[in-house]
Amino acid sequence: MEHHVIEWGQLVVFYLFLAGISAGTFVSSVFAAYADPERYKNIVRMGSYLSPIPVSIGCALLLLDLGRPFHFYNLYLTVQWTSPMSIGSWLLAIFIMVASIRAYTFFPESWKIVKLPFEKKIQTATGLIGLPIALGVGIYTGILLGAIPARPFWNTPLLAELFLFSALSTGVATLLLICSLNPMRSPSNIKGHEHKFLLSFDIVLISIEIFIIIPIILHSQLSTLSIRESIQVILGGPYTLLFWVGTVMFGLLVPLAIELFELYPVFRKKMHRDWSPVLGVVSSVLIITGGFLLRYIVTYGGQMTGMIE
Amino acid sequence: MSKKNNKRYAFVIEISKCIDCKACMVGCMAENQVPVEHSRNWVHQKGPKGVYPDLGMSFEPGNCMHCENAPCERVCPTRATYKREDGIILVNKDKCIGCKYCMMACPYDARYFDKETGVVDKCTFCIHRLQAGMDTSCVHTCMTGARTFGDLNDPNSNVSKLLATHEHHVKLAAAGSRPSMYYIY
Repeated sequence: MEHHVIEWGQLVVFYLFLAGISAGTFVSSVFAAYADPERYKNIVRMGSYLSPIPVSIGCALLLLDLGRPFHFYNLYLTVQWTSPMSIGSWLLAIFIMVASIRAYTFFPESWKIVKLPFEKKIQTATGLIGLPIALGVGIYTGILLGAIPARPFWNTPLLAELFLFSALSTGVATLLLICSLNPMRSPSNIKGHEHKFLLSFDIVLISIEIFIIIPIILHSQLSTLSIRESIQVILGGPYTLLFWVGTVMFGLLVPLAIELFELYPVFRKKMHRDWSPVLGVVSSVLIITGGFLLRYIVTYGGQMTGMIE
Repeated sequence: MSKKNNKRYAFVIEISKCIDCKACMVGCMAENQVPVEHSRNWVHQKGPKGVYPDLGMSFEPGNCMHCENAPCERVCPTRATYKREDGIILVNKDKCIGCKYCMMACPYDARYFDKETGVVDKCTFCIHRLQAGMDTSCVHTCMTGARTFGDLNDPNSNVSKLLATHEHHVKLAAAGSRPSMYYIY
């Protein structure tokens, strides 16, 4: 394995992670709003409040990572269709705007400085427009890295899918964390509708992630020498333990098991139950940490690899 | 492609002539004022190969390969990295924001990030020397003539003649970047 200089460091890792959380909370909020805005009121509201914040912090970190942060506006003087970063920077700007407007419409009346007309319509419109843009923010980071043949560890279209579903899952987990702590323990949550919604959604997302990781590993073994060598980063190389124990076991399998354990009786016996806040906190913190580790391993690991003759 | 300036610059490297003296690196750094911790060109050591006592090493000089299908140009979000009609890839330092995406995309690791200026830099094929009718600095400095520079579109140029008469390869052909740097073994 060759060792190259790491140019994209922790700032980029944090950005990738925070943008993912924003995309995930936004998508959850919109899905919940379409499923049943009354029943999932708190998810709709909390998701809307949260979604513009992590991505904005992430973008600030990204600016700090630039060689010339004050020239970032050059990104917005052009659109380069062959550059995932160009498309991504436009998506981010639009996403932050749409998500902020949407968040504002959900503020309690007493917080609002200006009263917007047609608030319900704005909520619907920002949901409709924002959904594909949020998914774009979630997936483009994976394309950004995955579309580069020069870094074989990244160079698979599945990376985009892995980043997208991991982003959605960390967003759902963030809402689950909030839901398990106090703010969502409102009367509408007594029957645990919101908990059930988040757990069911997350079980699907984590399962998809697992079925993305499996073909990535299997394909790499049958692929070109460059890719086979580069996957050594997580198959015997420096990030082996972190990936298999940190991301796969404690970031995916353990929280999946907890969520299945929590949800199984509900579906099986059609009974209501008191959700365990402890299990909710544990599984969501594990998922969020796992999502961060995944981005860390991918960002650093990819830069350690290069093509070989 | 315009008819006026129908050039296609390229390097041909004769591996067997390189003795790993690294004069090309020093010459380039001096000519282009490259920060001391970076280099725009390199000499990679290959080997030792063979079975004792028939052992051998070879040395492969290189620099930005000014690819025809340049990944750095395609991924640049601000169009700071651009290709001239003669195939030379340059970085417009007014447009570069220092995002370093091009460095990720380059299969040859030919680019470096200049902390002083905050932008990414690399070999320019010594464009200022070409415009003055001179050879590139690395070609000028090479003592053994391992490096040859010229116009591929001119059948009488040194590079065209070398390529016509010798078997040649490019580096990392699988990257699909179609580099303008050819190696003769």
